[in-house]
Amino acid sequence: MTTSGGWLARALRSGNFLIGAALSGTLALTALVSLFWTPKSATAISIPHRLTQPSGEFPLGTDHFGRDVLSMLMVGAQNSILVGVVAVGIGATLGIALGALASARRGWVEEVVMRLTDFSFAFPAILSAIMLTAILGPGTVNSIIAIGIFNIPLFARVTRGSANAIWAREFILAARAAGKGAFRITLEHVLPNIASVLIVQATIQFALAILAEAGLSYLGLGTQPPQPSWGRMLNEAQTMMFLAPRLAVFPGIAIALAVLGLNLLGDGLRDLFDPKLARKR
Amino acid sequence: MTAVVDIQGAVKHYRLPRESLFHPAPSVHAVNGVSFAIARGRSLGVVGESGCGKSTLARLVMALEPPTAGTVKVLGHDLNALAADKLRELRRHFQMVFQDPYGSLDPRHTVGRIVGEPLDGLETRLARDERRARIVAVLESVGLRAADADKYPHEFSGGQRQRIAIARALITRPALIVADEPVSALDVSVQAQVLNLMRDLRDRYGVTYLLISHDLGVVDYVCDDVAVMYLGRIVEQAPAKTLFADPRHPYTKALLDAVPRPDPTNRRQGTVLKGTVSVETVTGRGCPFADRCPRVEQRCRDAAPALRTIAPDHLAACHFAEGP
Amino acid sequence: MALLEVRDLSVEIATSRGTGFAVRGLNFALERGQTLGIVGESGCGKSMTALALMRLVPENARIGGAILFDGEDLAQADEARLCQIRGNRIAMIFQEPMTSLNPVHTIGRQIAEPLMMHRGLDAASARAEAIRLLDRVGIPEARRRVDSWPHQLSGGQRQRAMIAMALSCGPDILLADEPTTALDVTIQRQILTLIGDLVRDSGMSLILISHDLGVIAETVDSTVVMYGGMAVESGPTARVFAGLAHPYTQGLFAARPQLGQGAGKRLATIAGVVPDLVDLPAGCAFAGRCRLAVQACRVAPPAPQDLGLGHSAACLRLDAAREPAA
Repeated sequence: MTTSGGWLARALRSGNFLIGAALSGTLALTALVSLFWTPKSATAISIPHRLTQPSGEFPLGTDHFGRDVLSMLMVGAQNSILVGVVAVGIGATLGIALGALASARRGWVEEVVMRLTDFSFAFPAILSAIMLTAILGPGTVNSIIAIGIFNIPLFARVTRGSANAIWAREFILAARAAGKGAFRITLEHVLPNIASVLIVQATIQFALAILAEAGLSYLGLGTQPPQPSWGRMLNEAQTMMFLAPRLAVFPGIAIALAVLGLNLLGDGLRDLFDPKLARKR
Repeated sequence: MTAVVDIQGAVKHYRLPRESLFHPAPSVHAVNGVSFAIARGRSLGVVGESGCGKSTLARLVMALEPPTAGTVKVLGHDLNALAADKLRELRRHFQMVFQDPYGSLDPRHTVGRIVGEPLDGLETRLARDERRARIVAVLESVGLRAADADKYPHEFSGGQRQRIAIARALITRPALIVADEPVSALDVSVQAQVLNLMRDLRDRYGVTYLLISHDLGVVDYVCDDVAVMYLGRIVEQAPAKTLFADPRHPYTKALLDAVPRPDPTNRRQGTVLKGTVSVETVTGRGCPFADRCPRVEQRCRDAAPALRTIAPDHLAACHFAEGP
Repeated sequence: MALLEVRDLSVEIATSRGTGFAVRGLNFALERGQTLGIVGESGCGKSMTALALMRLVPENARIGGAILFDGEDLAQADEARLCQIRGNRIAMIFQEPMTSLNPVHTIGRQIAEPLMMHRGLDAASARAEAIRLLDRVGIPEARRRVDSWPHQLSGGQRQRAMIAMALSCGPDILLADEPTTALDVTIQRQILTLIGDLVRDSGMSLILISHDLGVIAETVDSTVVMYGGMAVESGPTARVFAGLAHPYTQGLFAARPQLGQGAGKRLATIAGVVPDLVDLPAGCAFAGRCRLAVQACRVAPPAPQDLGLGHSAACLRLDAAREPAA
């Protein structure tokens, strides 16, 4: 058994994991704190304070409606996490199931699943998401569904590709010789062996979902005002580009750090999950 | 007494990817009409070069693939006529050891879980303690320690991994163990340890082996009978002693002759077999070995010789098998 | 002067767990036209020795000692000089002919390439030479096969093509690392016969690396048995195989299942496993597995003992080893 002590000790030695966990943890913590407390109201408009420079009262300044940028960023983090978790959850659950099914059944099942993913790949993801939100109507929930749906084929592809490589291994043959069916083999042998790949994929998709949501909000199809969102903050900052560039810079940094943190976390997790690295004698 | 394995007219074709839209997909005749029976306690070795179909044969016996034609019976049950749950129940009686000690153990499972896997297929689920006791007992019987059950495969050397694989095959106390090249990935000194272990287990538990190998010495050491395969067919079959002392098929002779011997004072100048095993589909009517045979005649190209008894317990498929 | 003289060769590999000693204090000499075999199990340092001779060791490895090729120390030569020698005067063939041929070029192009590079032939004459070489290594219909892709050849033919590539510049030394391990016995026989013929006809020298005592016994004039990065026994092949002086050589020999031995005698095994190169014992590398080991064996690596006629073994217990095992 891998002892939790060993796991933790290795986690503490992995630079990627530490930085990734710190950034992702900060993101999660910010979102959590913002549920109960923000320095100022994130939605209160105060024209007298519009476009103030960063100060003691407004650490990151205010926007053109006089809203506190820091508070908006904090509340926006909730939004980003919600979008990331749910969209990746939808994509991963259905995508992994489809991919694993295709890999376990092969034949026409695989053909159908893969042709469907090919079909969806023919459209740029963001364009499809725009189409979907156009049909369903703009809003946070609909943008999450749209992003989630377009995560499905990505997960299906990655799952099937790596699962096929595992199915070709001899220990699968050994499991079949022991009388195990495709479902149990998928659960016991295939998924644990591709978990690291899927985790990395999930963190990347999480980051991309945050970006996609920002993109949709930027286009006005995602989160609707007055609910703050990093993407819409960028959008609104656009008009002030020369007047107050920091309005674009701060949400930009927030998105970049969140994406970076998640990617590093994914890399770190992949290493931690490898038993080969786990118990080096 | 029912034979442990009884194969009649087994054929296995694999379809290859299409090369052209206008031609039907070509197929490979991996096993092309093989029949034999293994009596309890008479381990059979199958030798042959790559592409002769010996690994496919192992998979047919393990019911990992259905034959294209013919029947495969283990302990009297036709494997391909059994319902899935009956087959699963029967599997405890025949287990397999694979060639690659690195690829055949799931790197994410502990040794205990790997070795215990065949127990999952049993009708009755074992209690936790009993399961653990069985795993420890079988690990000790292959020369590993109880503490090894909690380690992962990468912590073991190749020879130890093959012991783990043997323990997994042994845990349900099977009548038959199919071993596909179990020592070919191991170094000589380690190979000897594993071969001795296989022999000890045979003597102690009465396991019968179907041992697939390209190495004649390995087969000779573990098996009572030997079958030589060439291009999906058995070309000669006899008790090991007879076959190596008095080979009747030219291919068996060539195979024996090609084994390098560690004796520099006696370098042989024997005939070197021409050509290679053709992977192309064999559909010709003649003897499959005719193209490479040193003593080929016209009749070999006209009609394929049947596998027939040429002496008690000695089968050969050559027109000249009875001759000098 | 010998064509190749290796003096006190060592290869140290820096790993995350410390320094691994893949090769230690290796000495041998090879005359022009002579054949030398290096035999041992995986991890004994035989392949690393071959790579060291070509200076093709991995990035994290360091070579020590001298590799005198025609009087020139390859261990000190610069990269430009090595490029003139590799493939031209010392050619190498590998175990896996599929992975050592480039799948996106035809066989002919791969054989012609060194000819154009080292010999300055133009494309047409290089192609003609490639056809001649393919014919020489026994590939049927060489004129047609020259345009084949590697995947269209069988394993044995690929190894023949590899040999043709190695031969293209008429090297002084052919370095063959397990050239037949991936092949079937009948094909192995063909390839070994071919290599033997080529060595005899062209007068080049051969270094053959193998784990198979049989292959070594049938192919080379002199033999080095390696264990734990060191030569434990060396000498003329006939003497080594007749003498079997070192306990490890004896063990290796006895562990081989032999044809006709059948179910009779039990195989003698060598207890334990090959030592970790990072964590080698202070004394004889084999001491941990040797049935004859005494305290002195564990103190320092034993020096080679001369057994006459060029035969030597590095063991303190040669007298005890001479008596048959109890």
